[in-house]
Amino acid sequence: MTVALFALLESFDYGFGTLTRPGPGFLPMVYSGLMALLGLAILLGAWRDDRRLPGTRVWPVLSVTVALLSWIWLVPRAGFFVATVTLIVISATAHTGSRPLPVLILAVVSAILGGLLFIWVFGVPLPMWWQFGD
Amino acid sequence: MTETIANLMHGFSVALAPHMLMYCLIGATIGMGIGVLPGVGALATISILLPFTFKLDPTGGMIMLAGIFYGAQYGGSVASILLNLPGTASTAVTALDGYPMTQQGRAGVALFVTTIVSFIGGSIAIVVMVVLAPLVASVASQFGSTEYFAVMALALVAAATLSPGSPLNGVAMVVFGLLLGTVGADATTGFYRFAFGRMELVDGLNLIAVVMGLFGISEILVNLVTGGQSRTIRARITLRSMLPTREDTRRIIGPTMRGTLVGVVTGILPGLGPQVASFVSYATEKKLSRHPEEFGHGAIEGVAAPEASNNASVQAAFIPTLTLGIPGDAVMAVMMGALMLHGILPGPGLITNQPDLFWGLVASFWVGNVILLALNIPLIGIWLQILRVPYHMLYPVVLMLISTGVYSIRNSGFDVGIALFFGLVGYGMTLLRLPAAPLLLGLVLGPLVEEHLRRAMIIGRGDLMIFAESPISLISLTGAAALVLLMARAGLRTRERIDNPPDKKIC
Repeated sequence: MTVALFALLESFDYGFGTLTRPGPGFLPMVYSGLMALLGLAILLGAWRDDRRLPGTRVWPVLSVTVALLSWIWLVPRAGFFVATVTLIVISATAHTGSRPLPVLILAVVSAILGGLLFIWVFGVPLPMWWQFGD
Repeated sequence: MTETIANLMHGFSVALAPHMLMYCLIGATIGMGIGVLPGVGALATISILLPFTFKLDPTGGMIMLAGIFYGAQYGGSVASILLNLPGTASTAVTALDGYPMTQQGRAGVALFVTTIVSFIGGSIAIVVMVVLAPLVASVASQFGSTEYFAVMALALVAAATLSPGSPLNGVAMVVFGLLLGTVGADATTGFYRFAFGRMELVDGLNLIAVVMGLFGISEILVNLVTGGQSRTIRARITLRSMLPTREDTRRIIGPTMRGTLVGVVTGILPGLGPQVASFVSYATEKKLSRHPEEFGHGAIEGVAAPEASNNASVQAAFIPTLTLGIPGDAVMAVMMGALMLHGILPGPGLITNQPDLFWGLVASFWVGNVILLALNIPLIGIWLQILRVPYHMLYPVVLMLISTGVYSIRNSGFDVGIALFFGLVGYGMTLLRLPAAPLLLGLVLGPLVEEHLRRAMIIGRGDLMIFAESPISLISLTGAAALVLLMARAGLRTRERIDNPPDKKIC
């Protein structure tokens, strides 16, 4: 498991290493080379290291990802309120302690307060509500 | 000397203007309120609150940010003393003895000592800063690209090798940060690098988005995955229980002073920060103590020394950040990033060009410390209430603050995507025990390093000997090389690496 993940990180480094462009790519090239070397060294270290990677649960990571992506997608389309309620509801499912009603109340209240704060006080150009007609 | 005092008076006149005082107060209060939340470290707090300062003028914004920063720092200590949930590596040291004190029912004393000692450490460091910063600036104004490059190289190497944890991982992350710093249009030729056809990347990665991802989103993920941190606080704190005994007072004086000294020195040196300061001062006290066995079981020295040192170091770290434009740790890197967003380039000219900003900021540091002192002691009860907010009600709201905050910087949903991406990267890094702070430092310094290296090469006509001609650059580069060698030797000698930070509980 450890090795697999390190290898993944590794291949990522190599990907960058080969992608560098000439000319202004001088330093990126140096950095990528160093990265590759260091990645290799860490990888070698990991071979000796018999500590296991801590197990990870997929759902919290996934739900936070989906929540944020949906916020990005919804904000220009459905407005701040809908996007924020969605964000909070989806991300709340990551934690086992959340119950539906309090989460919904939390979502609505923070969407309204957040909207007031950012849009009204700070003047962030975001629509609060969905817009009809476009 | 008289000039310094006059400048300082001017600074106070800036910082004590009612609206500046208000910014500082608001910043300190909110910073404290968010910083005290379990699992939200100082850096995450600052990055969440950063967008709020953008609408202010630079001086006001920086003063508010400094307030936020102090509040967050102190809030982190409160969380680590009461709940053993440190948000950062430097407060992890405080938790070593602070939490046992809570278990012994002496939480009040620990909190009180933290407040007082932080104030003392901070105040002394401010005095040092007032005296030293103009001197450093006048030396720095002689710096050419060669010297800049050399000092930055030293800072990066120091940050990578001396931070707690494996030095190899640290170096790898600095290089990763430098690589990320090359994203965007090349400063010399305008060539687009790693832009992947996205116009949003031409200006480089948005620093704030990266910080929010690395330190905000990834912290939430780590907390969610490791699950239930719902610890109840049993400590009941009355004003009376906060007063240290005479014995306590006697025992903290020495550690406070030594801690401050360690803090000031580590703060000034490039590449070192509060983390190193708290670790070193804790270790020093343990060695000097006549009863080292008490450490880890609620020794008051173990709270006083790292807290004094941590605050002093933070304060002193502003010297290289503001006068050289070389931040010493991740927090300073964010502060510098914030300055640049306000259109101010930190450097030797800052003190003379922006006297209002510089002296106002120095004065507001002290004002901020006083505000915290006044705020903390009476409001401890409220902080305890905040600590009782269950995490599952909290993190969705923090996510909302992050996404909206990142969006508001450039009104760009793409940046929120960047934050999400780095949140995932940061989470992966935590799993692999790769430190995030060196990465950030590399990212901030990356473009500067490249620019100065190229300029130095042009001046030296491609001859590397140019770096050996100036004493400052020679010393810095030799120092950096020595650190690398030391690290390699230590790494070979002890294959058993001590992986320090148990601050993130990974089970």
